[in-house]
Amino acid sequence: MATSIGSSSSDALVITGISKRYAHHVAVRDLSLRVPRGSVYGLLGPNGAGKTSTIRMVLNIMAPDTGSITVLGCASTDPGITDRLGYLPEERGLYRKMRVRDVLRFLGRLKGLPAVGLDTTIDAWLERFALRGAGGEDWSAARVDELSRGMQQKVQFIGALMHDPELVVLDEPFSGLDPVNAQALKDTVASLRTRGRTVIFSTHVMENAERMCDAVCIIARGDKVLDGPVAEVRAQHGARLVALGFAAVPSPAVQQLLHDPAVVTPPATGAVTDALVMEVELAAGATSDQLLARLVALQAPLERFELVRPSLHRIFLERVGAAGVETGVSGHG
Amino acid sequence: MTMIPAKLFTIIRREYVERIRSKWFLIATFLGPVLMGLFMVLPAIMAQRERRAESGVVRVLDSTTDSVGAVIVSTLRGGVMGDTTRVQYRHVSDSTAILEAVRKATDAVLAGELVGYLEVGTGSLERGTVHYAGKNTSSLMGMQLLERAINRAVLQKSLLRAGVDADRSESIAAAQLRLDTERLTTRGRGGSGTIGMVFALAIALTLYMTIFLHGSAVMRGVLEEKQSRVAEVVLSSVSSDTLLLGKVLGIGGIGVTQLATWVLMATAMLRLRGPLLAHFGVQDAAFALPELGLAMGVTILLTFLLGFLLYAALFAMVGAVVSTEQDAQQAQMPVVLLLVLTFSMVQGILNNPEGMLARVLTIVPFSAPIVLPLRLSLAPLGTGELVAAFTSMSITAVVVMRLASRLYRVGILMYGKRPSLAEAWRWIQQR
Repeated sequence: MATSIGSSSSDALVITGISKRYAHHVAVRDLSLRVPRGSVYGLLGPNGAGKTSTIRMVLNIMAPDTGSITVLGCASTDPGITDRLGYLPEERGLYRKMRVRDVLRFLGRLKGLPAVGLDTTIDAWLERFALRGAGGEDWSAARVDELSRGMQQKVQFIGALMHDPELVVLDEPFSGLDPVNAQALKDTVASLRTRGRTVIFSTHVMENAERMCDAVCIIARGDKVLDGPVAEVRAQHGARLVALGFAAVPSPAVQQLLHDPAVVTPPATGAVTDALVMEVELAAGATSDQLLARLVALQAPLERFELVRPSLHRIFLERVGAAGVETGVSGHG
Repeated sequence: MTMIPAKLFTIIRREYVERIRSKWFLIATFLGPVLMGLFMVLPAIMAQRERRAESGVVRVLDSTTDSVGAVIVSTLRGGVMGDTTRVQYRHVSDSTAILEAVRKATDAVLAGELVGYLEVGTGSLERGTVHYAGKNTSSLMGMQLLERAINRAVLQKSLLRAGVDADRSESIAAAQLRLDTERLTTRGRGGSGTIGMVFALAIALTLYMTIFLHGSAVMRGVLEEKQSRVAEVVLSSVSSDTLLLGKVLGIGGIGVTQLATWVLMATAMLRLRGPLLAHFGVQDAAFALPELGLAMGVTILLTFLLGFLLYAALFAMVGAVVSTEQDAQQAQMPVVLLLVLTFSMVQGILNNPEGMLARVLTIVPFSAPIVLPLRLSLAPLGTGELVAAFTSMSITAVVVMRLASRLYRVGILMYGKRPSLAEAWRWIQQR
């Protein structure tokens, strides 16, 4: 495997002020971000936000109009860098008439794998994805168009990963995956992280990102909305929400406190009722400590008092808004 | 840097191996020449069959005193030992007998027993005409044979009457000449007339077909990578320039392989043509192809490569801007027209290989790949013209290839509506 000579940076990817303009719209506007080595990084945004354009520029499939990209310590335009990258495009595709083994050989050779031992590598991967061996059918000699969609996806994953890349870029990897394969993909990403690889994936499904990513960047309409480690992002957006649970219906004094505009923002997020479970948003100036102290003083039958970190989905909606989700122009996503 | 040629080689190899394995390549490469071979052999066989069928029985009605008719008959029979059943001889003594013989012969022709009859009389010979009536008067070959036999018989009898002895008069009359044609040009002697022309036409046709077939294969290859979206995976490993170059070289290799196979097969078939025709009872005509020297072979190969490169780049441009087969059919029209127009000029060039049209089309880069080899196989060309042709082809091929590669780089990732010319130009200019 190629060693990363001259890359002392702890970042797998550094993007500095890149822009990409098409004839009729701007795909990416002055985007900067950092992806630490060994992390799983989510590039989030609605369709047409500029995710695919960004990824294509990272992989030097197209050039940014302005700005620079450093991948694994090298310029993204360095032809030597491609062997250390793995890429699964959003629009999947293989040569339909080729045999599975031939396609993988071709992709492997393009990633600089030596011809000697290539078949062994391919066999190991095919077995791992249940396309060969262990009582199953051997699909290595089948033509790609004889495979089911799911199997084609697997072959494409193998093509992206077989050369053990240091940085793996997956564009919308979950689109079109059945639950079994989606889980297999999550496991694969987890094992890549365990082995110190960096994974960047784009998605518009926030739940996936939340569970898998160490850090995220949300972009919409070509602009970066926010970025940072998931915990930090949520902490920044989550300090104002408190989830409450009561063992019995709270006393009128407690109800009054929860309706005090100095403590709780009036149109409370989770509408305050006489329910046992609720979510309230702290008023400006109020702190969770104060609220807890006063609830305890009122002898509220507290069962649960939790600072809620909003889901990425919620943050996303809050920051991007419905309008940002609306402008889905596919193709240059 | 050493990695880059290896990847280019990987691309070339895939294009070449996948195509050479396909059944279409096998069909085109091996069935094509078989069909062409059949076209070479079949007409000869059919002509022979026809000749036999129409040369039924001819009756010679001879009323001359010195039996001119008998000499005609023996000539037609192909000598004393010839086939006696195909020509009948009737000697008629007086004018009433002639009328009667003519009436009978006419009936026989109409009844299908005879194909025709020939009237030879002293009076008619003095007037210089001989009368023939029959069903096959439109057969040029048959009438020529008849005319030749009559002239020979008359000449032989005239020599006898002039006092030449029988043997000598026969051998003098039997003397035959064949016209041997050779093309003479300002640059020296080139191949012999008709055969040289057929040979040149075959070369032009082969190049036209090969450039067309494999050029459009480049277009379909680009389109396939676009449609299947596989281009993006490949482009994450190699530059679009490498992908395009590899594709063009791989498919070009297929073209060269096919040409080489055809040259081998043609050589073998020319060797086998004689025995094959003999097998069907046809005598092979003396058939010597113009010598194809090494220098000329290399020149033609080089022309093919440059021409293929040029047209492959044009076809790649089409492939890069379209997203569907139907779109491609329409968008390739300008490129196809360039080729078809060139080929439609071939007849004119054959008629006048040194003319203005020929000279201009040799230098125009889009027609040169077909016209240059066509003219070369007719007669050697001057150095000036060769240099001009190759310079124009090379420069244009490089320019078009660069344009194609810029267009391809953007177009290969663009799906959907075909761009207008202005938009395509913007793609080319894009960073």
